[in-house]
Amino acid sequence: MLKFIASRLLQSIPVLLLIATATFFMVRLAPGGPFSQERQVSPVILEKINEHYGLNDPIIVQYGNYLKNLFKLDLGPSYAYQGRSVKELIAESFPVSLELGCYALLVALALGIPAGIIASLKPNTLYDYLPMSFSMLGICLPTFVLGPLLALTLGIGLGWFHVSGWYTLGDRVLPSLTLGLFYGAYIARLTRAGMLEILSKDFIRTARAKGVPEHKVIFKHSLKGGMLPVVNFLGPAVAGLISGSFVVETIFQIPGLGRHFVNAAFNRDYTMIMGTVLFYAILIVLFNLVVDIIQAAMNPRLRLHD
Amino acid sequence: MGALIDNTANEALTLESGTSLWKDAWYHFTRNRLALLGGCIFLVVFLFSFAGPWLSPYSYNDQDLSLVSQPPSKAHWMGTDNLGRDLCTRIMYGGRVSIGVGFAATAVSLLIGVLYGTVSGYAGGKTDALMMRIVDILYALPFTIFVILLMVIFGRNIVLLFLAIGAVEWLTMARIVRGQVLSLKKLEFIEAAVALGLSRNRIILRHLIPNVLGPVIVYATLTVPSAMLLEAVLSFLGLGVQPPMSSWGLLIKDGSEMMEVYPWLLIFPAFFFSVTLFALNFLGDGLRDALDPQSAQD
Repeated sequence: MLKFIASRLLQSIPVLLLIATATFFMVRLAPGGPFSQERQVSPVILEKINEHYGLNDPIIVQYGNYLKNLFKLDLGPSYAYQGRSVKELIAESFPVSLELGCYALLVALALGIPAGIIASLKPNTLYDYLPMSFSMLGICLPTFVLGPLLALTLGIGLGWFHVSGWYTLGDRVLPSLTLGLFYGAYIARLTRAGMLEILSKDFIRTARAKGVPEHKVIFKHSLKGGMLPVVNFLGPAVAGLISGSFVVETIFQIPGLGRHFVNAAFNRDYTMIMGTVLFYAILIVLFNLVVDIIQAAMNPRLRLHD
Repeated sequence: MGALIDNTANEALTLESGTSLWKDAWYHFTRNRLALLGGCIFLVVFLFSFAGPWLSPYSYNDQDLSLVSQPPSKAHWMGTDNLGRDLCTRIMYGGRVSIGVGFAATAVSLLIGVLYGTVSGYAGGKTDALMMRIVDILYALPFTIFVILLMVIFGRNIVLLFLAIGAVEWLTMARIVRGQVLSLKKLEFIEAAVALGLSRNRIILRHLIPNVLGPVIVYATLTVPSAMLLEAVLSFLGLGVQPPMSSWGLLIKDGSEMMEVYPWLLIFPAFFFSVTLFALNFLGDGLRDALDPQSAQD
């Protein structure tokens, strides 16, 4: 197992290096520098600014410096927020996004798994159709539709929650629901499919024939196997939660990393863009590793291959 | 003369005895009411978006400043926006862009995915292992972020938009095609075709492609809504289609900014977008059940 983790970590280093290189050159390819489109500054000052940020050096030198700084975990200064470093900005805003993501994942799992199990127990009856219709509805209401609709009904119509900001615990409800419901709907479908497959297996029939009570059949014998598709989905789900956070944080005015990234994209804050992309990439690579480990732990058949 | 035609027709029937894959699929598909409903709804939305603008008395950019932010009325069925433009017409044009980008991006992903998957599956061995390892690695990358990056750097133009989205969506397609080619290669009927001395092109065209086509069509149908979703997210963030052009994502964004006072500006585009996603998902599910019986056992 340790060997597996070590080899996966080693593999991810060239991948991350590739991402860092790709973002660096993509950003440099862009027409116009980070300071060229703002209000007119005199050429002398522009020259001074470019000199200060090392933008006058040949691109290879810039790339070398960039990589050298990366190994020192230095992501450089932000171009848009003068005097702040990218690392500070990420450290400040990421906890907010992380909190939002955790709540959303909690909402998704707490709604999706029970709904999927209920649907799988009596397929093609009302108990199946009702949760599955809701899940279809959830899948077809993307975050940027659901968010404003929830804000309109629960926020403005009923006045239960604020429609923007991130201050009280109540402010967490609408964004978490918005982000979580879609994944809840998807997880419900995956749970149902996974459970249906397991419940049709011979060992379940054997267990039932031996008189194992139904709740034990479900929770002890089938749940572990039935959850496999859900675990497989967690990797892509986290990548999705990240891009979902761009939208949700924009709708509800949440000071998280997602909004910083979108703002950086608008302001052409290049160091911030590169830093955030790399940070997200590391996050996703690490999380995929965690998912692989959970998978191997849950499914003994996978372990034979390493 | 008539008898002769009858005869050849009969011969054709006996040659294709049993039901062909497509006949069988059509039979199953037409039995699936939800899928048919999805298909019909999508057709209606499609006609609304593509033929609607010809029938509409307004253009997407016509402003009537005396009728700013009007609720739905007889003249403007879905009201007007804050610049006095007819919302119904703007939704039609938005639909053209959204559906168009969805299909164009899917075509791009189809092209890359099928090509990559077929080559990988055919080559087999080390080439295959390497090519699939690359796909595995790409899977782990934050691609939505890269699309945003591309849009920021190279400007927000629509060709780039669907190229970028297509370049993101091809991975699963490549995996599916490769898996199909790999398993088909080993089957007896391909062996039989080789033994019969059929040419390689004929084997590919007549025996491989039709069998790969099923899952490819299914997955393509399911790619269209996810490409539309990605376009809408980008437009919603202001990084996709730019005003005065419209797309459903852009309309939803504008609507959500003014929903407290003018809720119809949010509700109508959101309704069209969601209904289209709904229809396409049902259509895709129905096609999967019809064309890929293995995945439709439950």
